[in-house]
Amino acid sequence: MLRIARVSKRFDARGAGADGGVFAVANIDLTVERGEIVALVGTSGCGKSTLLRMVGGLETPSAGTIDLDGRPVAGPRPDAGFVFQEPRLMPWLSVRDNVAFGLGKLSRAERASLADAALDRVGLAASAQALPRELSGGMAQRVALARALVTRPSVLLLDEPFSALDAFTRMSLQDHLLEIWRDDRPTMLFVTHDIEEALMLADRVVVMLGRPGRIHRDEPVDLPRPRRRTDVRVARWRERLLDDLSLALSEGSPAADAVAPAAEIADDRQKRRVANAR
Amino acid sequence: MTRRRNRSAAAAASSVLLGVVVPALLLAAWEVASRAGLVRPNLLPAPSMVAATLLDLARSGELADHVEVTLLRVLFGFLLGTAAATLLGALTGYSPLWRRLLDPTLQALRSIPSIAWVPLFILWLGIFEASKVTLIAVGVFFPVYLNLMSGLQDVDRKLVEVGRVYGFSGPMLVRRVLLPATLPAYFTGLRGGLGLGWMFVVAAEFMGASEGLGFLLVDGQQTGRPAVIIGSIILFAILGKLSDLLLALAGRRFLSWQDSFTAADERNSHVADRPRLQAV
Repeated sequence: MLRIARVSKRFDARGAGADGGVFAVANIDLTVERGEIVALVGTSGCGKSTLLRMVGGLETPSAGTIDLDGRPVAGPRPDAGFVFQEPRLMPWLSVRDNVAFGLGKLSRAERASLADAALDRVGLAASAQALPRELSGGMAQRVALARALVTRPSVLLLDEPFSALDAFTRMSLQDHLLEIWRDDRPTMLFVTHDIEEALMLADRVVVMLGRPGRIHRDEPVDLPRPRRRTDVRVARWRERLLDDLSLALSEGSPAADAVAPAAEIADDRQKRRVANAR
Repeated sequence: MTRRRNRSAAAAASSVLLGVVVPALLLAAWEVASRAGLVRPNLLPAPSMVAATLLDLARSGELADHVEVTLLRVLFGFLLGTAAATLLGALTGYSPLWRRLLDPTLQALRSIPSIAWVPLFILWLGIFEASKVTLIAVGVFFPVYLNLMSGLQDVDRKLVEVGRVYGFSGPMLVRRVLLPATLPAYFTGLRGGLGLGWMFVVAAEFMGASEGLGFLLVDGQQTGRPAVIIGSIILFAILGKLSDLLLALAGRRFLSWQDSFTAADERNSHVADRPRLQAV
């Protein structure tokens, strides 16, 4: 179980005094049950990535505590796998060695067999010998996923993992991620600006708004699985979330395939609103 | 696969042949002009005479001695300069504190033309091997140092973060991420440094040596034997090219993962890259 309690993060502004700096997130309380899939959605700059990075131990909270399975997070740890927006593969390592990158002290044969098993799970067993430069964007991101999975983490943290991919690759990877999750049900916390992605994957959607970011909505997605992107209920949910993101729904509301751009418009509006409020 | 390799080998061979055409014509013209008495042999001896002189020197065993002495000077100077540059470049590239502490001084030293050190080195270290090797080491130092430092600074922060996700820090982070990521820049520095090493061995052997190819150059001038001078120049060219080829091959072994390196090489094997490395 992941427990985030009254967490704030302040980045020190250059030249600012002791009380200076910019708050990225303020007073976040969030609990994620074991095996739960939670999507963090929000306007850009609301600190959702910062929150995820704090859970992964890549940033330290300025205030508050984060506990993972009862132990406070004091830095990166092997039971939390992290997938970045970009694949971030080591270009000098083969796909297999990239996947084995995070494995600790094991024999060569053990490392290889664990890596191959992880590659098999993402459907890339045949590419074990390839170098990263030979992979497509989608394949590279699957390798990154395998690298995060190879240690069998109890928590998988994903920072806009599919946002750099084209729509078809993204959809197939979303389905793939769910299949993987069904196998050993890691807790998953993922950041996305794609509302549809959140609705297809998550058990619960958390909407963060503002600067500093605060939790605006935290609600279970009560849709049965497997979900269909064209489901009316998904559309209804999407409207509600878009509303949250301050997109006034005009008549002739955005078509299903225009969700991501709509979210970006919402981002801009939110930014302007925040700017005006100051 | 085999057919493609054959074809690219044939293409490489034909481009090497093309590259040989102009030098061969020049050599032939030179030889003919010498035999016809169009150039004075005491200034520009015929290629056949240069070859004969080199053969004579080789037969007496003298040439092997000179080549060995020069090679050893370059080797020790290269090792010394590379060792110092690797240590300091790693420090300043890795740690901003060390960079702020050391880099301004080293940059200031770099602006001194290295040959200007010669009198001081001779005064300090004598006219024998120590001053020569030191001068070569100074020449090798800067390209290696600069490339390593900037290579380390330019390592993708995002890859370093992946290392941190898996709990790497210190030596482990260096070995698993920083070192391999810096290797391309480091090899560029090594090749540049080796080139300067060859330049500086000539300067070093001008300053009062009794052996070595540089000495042979001076000796040829003082005894009025242009064939010896031209022969030494040709040997310098061959040795410099061979040593660079060795480094390039070592680099290719380590850097085959690079997007630009192998990929471009394989695609353009008949155009630019390979002939440059193969035509010795």
